[in-house]
Parts: sequence; C-alpha cells; structure tokens
Amino acid sequence: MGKAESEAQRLSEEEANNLVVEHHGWAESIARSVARAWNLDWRLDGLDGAAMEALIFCSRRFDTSRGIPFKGYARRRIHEASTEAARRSKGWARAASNRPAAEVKARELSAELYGVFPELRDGQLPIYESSGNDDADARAAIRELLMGASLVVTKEAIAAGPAPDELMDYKRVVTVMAGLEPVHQWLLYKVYWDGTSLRNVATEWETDGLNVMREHKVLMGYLQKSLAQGKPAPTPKVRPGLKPLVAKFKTARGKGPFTDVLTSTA
Amino acid sequence: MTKGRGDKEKKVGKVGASDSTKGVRSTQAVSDVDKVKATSAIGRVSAVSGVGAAGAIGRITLDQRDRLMSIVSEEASKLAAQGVIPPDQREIVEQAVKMVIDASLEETSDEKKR
Repeated sequence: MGKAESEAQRLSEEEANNLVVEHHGWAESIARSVARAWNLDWRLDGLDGAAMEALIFCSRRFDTSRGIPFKGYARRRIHEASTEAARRSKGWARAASNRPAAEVKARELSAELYGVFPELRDGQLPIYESSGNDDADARAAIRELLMGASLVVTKEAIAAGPAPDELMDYKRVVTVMAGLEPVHQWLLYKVYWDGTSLRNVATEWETDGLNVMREHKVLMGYLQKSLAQGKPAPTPKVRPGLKPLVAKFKTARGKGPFTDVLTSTA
Repeated sequence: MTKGRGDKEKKVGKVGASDSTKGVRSTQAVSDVDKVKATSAIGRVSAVSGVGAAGAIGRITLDQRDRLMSIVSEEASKLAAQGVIPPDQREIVEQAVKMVIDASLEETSDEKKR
C-alpha cells in the first residue's frame, strides 16, 4: 500500500452508504442526460445501473482529506460509466442499423469528443479562462468544439482513405497545419489524432496546463483564419512557456507530423 | 514644619491582599522532537480550473439547453460559410456537438424524472 493510499481518509461504510442515498437521484440525472442526447432509454439500456455502480464505487473511494466536494469528485466517473454503458447497449447497436448514417456518425463523433474535451463530463464547456462575458465565452467554447469535431472527422477520413471529392478539403486542412512549428503540429496531433486532452498533453510535456490551453486557443484562431481566407495566415510564434520544447521537437521528431503526412502523400 | 493638606491626599489608604500564586505544575520530559524536514522546490503549479467568481466557469445546465443549441447552429453556420468546416461535414459536426453538450448538461433538480 502506497503512502498516499495509507494517508487517505476513507469514509466508514455507513457514511459511504449515506452518500449513495443522498446522491442517487443526482447520479440518475447524469444517466438520463446521456440517454436523452443519444436517444436511448436510460433504464432499458442499462445506464441507470452503470451510474449507480459508479456512484457506489466513488462513495467507497472518496477521500475527505483532499478537500474536494463529493459531486466534483464523482461526476466524471459517473458520466464515464454512463457513456460506456450507452456504447455497449443494445439501443446503440440498434441505432447503427436503423438510424440515418449522419446521426450514427455524429453519435460516434460526440463520444470521441469526450477524450479531447473531458471537462464536458464535469458538466462544463471547455472554457479555461473567463473573459468576464459569459455569452462570449460560451460562444468561443462552442466554436472550439465545432472546429475540434471537424478535425476529428478529418483524421478519421484520412485514416479510412477519403473519397476523391473530399480529398481536397482534407488536404487543405493538413496543409495549413503543416505550416506550423513542429511543437504546434505535435500539440494538434496529440489532441485530435491521439485523442489526448490538453491537460494530459501538459502533463506529458511537463509544462503548465495554461501554456498548452492558451497555445491551443491561438492555434484554433490560426486554423480558422487560414481556412476562412483560403491561404495560411502568419504562423503563430511559440509562447515562452513552450520554448524549451521547440528544440526537442525540431531535433528529435523531424519537421512535424502533418509535414510528414504531406510529404508521404505528395 | 507642618504637613499640608495636599500631602495627606497622597497617602496610600490601604494595601489590598495580593492574589495568591498558583502552584507551578511539574514539567514533563520532551517526548520526541522531529528533525526539520528539508523543503523541496515546487516542481510545477497547475492553474485551478473550473472555479470562477460565480462558481464553476462554463457550467451548463438543462435550463440553458435551448440557448446553447441555438448558439451551436449559429456558429456552425458561420464556420461553414467561411469554409472552415467543409460542407459535407457540417451536419455531422453540428449534430455531434449538440449531442455532446446535451449529454453533459446538469439537471438543475435531482428529482426530475424522464
């Protein structure tokens, strides 16, 4: 047993059971939201059971010494359990055969977006810094979600071999990304090709989360501008917080993953 | 030389009894002294996320649903018109973002049932 584990302050069984009783309605509401969005039945498709299991698990693992409220600790796990149950359900499989193809693809894509934007599982839009204007922040976050979803579709289409009429669109996106510094290319690649969240990229790169989040926002702005005007906009400079990574990516990993894709398909 | 009236006023009238001191308790042996542990440099400080002046930043609830869905449609339309989202992707992308938001909404009351 590790030191952190031994120092954790777990609840007694009775206290944990009380948490379950107190929060079961809330856990069910999470399962209902997932079912509503994906047009499933939260009970028949087993989302209620998955949410309850996750709630019980969290009540047993909840560590009061960490100072995190129970809902803050448990929501992501309950949501994850609900979405996993949804994807394994008969309703999900049935929809794949009897719903319109666009809806089926949209559903798969939306499930994939949780890997890129895990804060959605906490019931939050990906807003990392408030500007003080809630409406503008929500709009910017939604724009980021839309562009992110578009990049994930691009990735999947490239992997599957795009239809000839789509090829130009995808090549245009990759060409714009290939114009970026290698460290910027890797940031986009990690997030949209590997499905790693911005926070996890920051952890992997041993840098502050805000460095990565702010840089990502700049890159989204660059992509939007470049794609809108039909030619690459001036490439963004690497912010000082990420400068130590520039040399590492230049020397160790070539010119960047999107440059490599373009070179290999030229 | 006779003492004046003023001198009399300066006399101390009475000395009250001093408070008695309490017994000093016996000291105890110092049981254990820990060494001062060396401090280590702070490796990395992560920003606190999700907490703003009015609670969590960007928290989305069921009563905001219609507003959020209309923002998704408006922004998808703008991005498609600008050519940022390819036309053949528009429907899937817009629908996926609506789904992911819908599945993340927090119901304001725990008691609501479908």
